[in-house]
This record gives sequence, structure tokens and C-alpha cells, in this order.
Amino acid sequence: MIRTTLLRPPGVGILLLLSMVVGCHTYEVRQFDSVKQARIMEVTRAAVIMNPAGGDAARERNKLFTEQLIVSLQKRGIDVAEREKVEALLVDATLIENEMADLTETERAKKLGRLLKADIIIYGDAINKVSYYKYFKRAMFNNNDERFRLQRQANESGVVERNGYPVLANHAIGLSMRAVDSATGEIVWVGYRFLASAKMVDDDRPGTMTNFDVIRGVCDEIVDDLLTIRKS
Amino acid sequence: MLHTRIIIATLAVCLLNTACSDSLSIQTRSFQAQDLSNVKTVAVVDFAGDFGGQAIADILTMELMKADYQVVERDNLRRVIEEQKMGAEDSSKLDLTEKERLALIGRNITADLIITGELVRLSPVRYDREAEDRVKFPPATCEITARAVDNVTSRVIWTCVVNVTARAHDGTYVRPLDWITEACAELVESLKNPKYKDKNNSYQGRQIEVMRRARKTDA
Repeated sequence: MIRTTLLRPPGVGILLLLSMVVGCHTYEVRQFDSVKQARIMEVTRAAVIMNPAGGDAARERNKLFTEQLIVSLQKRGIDVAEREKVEALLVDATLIENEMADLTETERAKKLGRLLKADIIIYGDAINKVSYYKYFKRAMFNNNDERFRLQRQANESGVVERNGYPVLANHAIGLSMRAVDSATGEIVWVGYRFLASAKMVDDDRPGTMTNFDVIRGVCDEIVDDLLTIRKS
Repeated sequence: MLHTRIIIATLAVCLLNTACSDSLSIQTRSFQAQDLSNVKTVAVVDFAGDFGGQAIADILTMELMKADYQVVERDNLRRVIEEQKMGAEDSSKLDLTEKERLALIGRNITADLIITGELVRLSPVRYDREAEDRVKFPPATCEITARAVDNVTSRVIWTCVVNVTARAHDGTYVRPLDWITEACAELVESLKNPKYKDKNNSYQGRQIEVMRRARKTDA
């Protein structure tokens, strides 16, 4: 009698097992710290410069962060210097350095601020960026090859096409930034933001899920913290 | 007989506790040529290294600001250094050593010291959950070499190598980025404290908290 009760709803057992496997993986852990100057300032326009060093992967990663930081700043009413303009200016660094060779560091910052017409210049770098995805087997008879193909594809492209498989998305993303007052050349804020998370992607949600969601969250939070220096 | 059993059981529990708690190991080797306790203004040049060099400089800047140093903006310094390196092909600059180049750059900034260095090892880590607000991760190492050059004399007056290995078993005492922040905090302590002694210490569980409190008290 007991045996039949346990065996009758086969879906419950599978669901319980799946929830145990999945539940123990889902988490979200944040770490952050920042230091700022005591004074507050007017910020209406900013320029974002991410670390240009490193290989192609590092440059791509920082380009992604730049775009997202620009969006986060614009959402909060800050006008941002166009990325192409900033890059063009940096490419032309030799010319600028020649012009700036005899200036003090404070004067250099002021000049760069004038060239970009920005109140603050924000410099940033990625500390950690790891994203990977795990597809769970829905039932014993599912095709393993298909599951591993999807997993590999997601890990390489960062885009999850679910195709009916439950997906666990793992991210460990960190960003460090500092903001320089272009009027004085002072560092007015410096800090980092880090997020490690694993989330089960709801199986009945249509479309795709990417690590952009997580990057957007980290950028929004770090920009919110930075803008506490702003005169409201 | 009973005593022996109790001792063995206690040792086993201690061993189990040690093996299953967060751990942090700090090794440093430093040298200070002169007392730097009166230094107030420093500039931090981005650290060399493919990944995270600027991030390390940012975190070090943050730790320096917490320790009441005034940190001068240095972004343009990097480009000046590159220019200087390119300029080294020019025969007039062939004789310059790296520290002379750093000092040459330093003349244009209002800092007492320029701090630079290299990020020797830093690997991205995959994290796993232990509790809602904690993660665990395998041993992660951050190794940094840093040095400070006097603006006026061009001398290297402080060097420090720090290696921090952290492992979070349950994440109670070691947070995700502590293997980086601890390394930078150690560099600042070595710079600020003229009586700083080289470390070769390992901390387990609660000892980590005690060490951090002692560091704050010393500061």
C-alpha cells in the first residue's frame, strides 16, 4: 500500500529530486566597497574609459562593460561622451601627450575633461568575469548529446537557448571603478562591486537568457553608489 | 584508556574543524629604505599584467585612501610610460633606467611617491554556494610585487611582494574577493608601518577575524 502511494505520482518524485539538485545551487552573493571624498559635486556629463590593456577577450569584455555603464549613467540623467569619440581621443594619445607633456597631472586631468566636455571621467576595469551554464536532464530518456551541445554553445556564446531544458546560469562578475573630477583632477570616488550568483532559469519563460542581465545589474549598482557624490 | 579516547576525539574534532573552515595564508617580503610615515601624497600607476592590472591599482587606491593617503590621479601616467618606453629607442633615452623614467614622470605630478608593480598571479574563480549570503571556492591566489620610487631622488625606497591564498569552505570569514583586497591591505600596511615585519602566516576560521581587527588597531 505504502509502496503504491509512493510510486503513483511519478512526476512528484522527479520534481522533488530536481528541486533538491537545483535548489542547492541557486544563490546570489554580493561584495562591495567604496571610498569617496566628503564633498558633493555637480555631475551632468561624464566620460567612461575602460582599461584598454589585455588581449582581444579582455577588450571585448571591457567594451561590454563600457556600453552598459553608459546606459546605466544615461538612465540616471547623466549625459555621457560618445564611446567612439573617447576611443578616437585615446587613439590619438601621442598627440595629446605631446601637448600635455609639460603639464602637471592635475592640469592633464582638467584638459582631458575639457576635451571630453565631462564633469567626471570614470575609469574602470573588470576584476572577474566568469559565466557558465548547466543544462539539467529533464528525464532519463533525454538526449545527453543534445544537452552537452547546448551547454558548450551557451558557455562559448553566453547566450542560452533553452529548448525545453532547465538551465542553471552561473555568474561571477566584478567591476572596479574610479571617478576623477575633471575640474580639479582629484579622485572623488573609488570602489568595486562583485556578484556571484547561480540562478535557475524558469523553463516556461520564452526567448533567451544572457549574462547581460547580470552585467547590467552590477553596472546599475556601482553607478548608483558612484552618484552619491552628486549634488541632488 | 578513557582519557586517551577523549584526547583522540578532541583532536579529531579540531582537525575536522580546521579542515572545514575558511583559510587565509599571507606571505610577504618587504624592504623599506627610509621611514615613510610622513608620506601623505602618492600616485598609483596601473600594475603590469594581462588581466586586472588596473583593478588591482583601483583597489590599492581605495585601501590607501582608507589609510588617509591622498592619491593623485594617474591615468595619463600609463600613457606617458608607454611613450617613454617607445622613446627608449631614441638614443638620448637609452641610458635611462626604469626608475629614472618613473622619476621623470613623477616630476609632472604632485606626489611624494609613485607606486607601481606587477600582478604576478590572479585567476578568475568559480564560486559555489554554501548559504544564501555565503559562497565557497577553491584555493585562489593573488600575488603582487610593488615598489615605490621617490620623486626627488629617483631611488626605489620601498618594495614588497605579497602572496595571498584564500579558500572559502563556508564563506563565514572569507568573502569572494578577499584574496585580492587582503593583498592590497597588506601592501598598505607594509608601506605605512616602518616596523612592519615580513609575514608567513596562515589563519583559519575565527583567526582571520582576529587578524583583521589587529590590523585595524595597528593602523
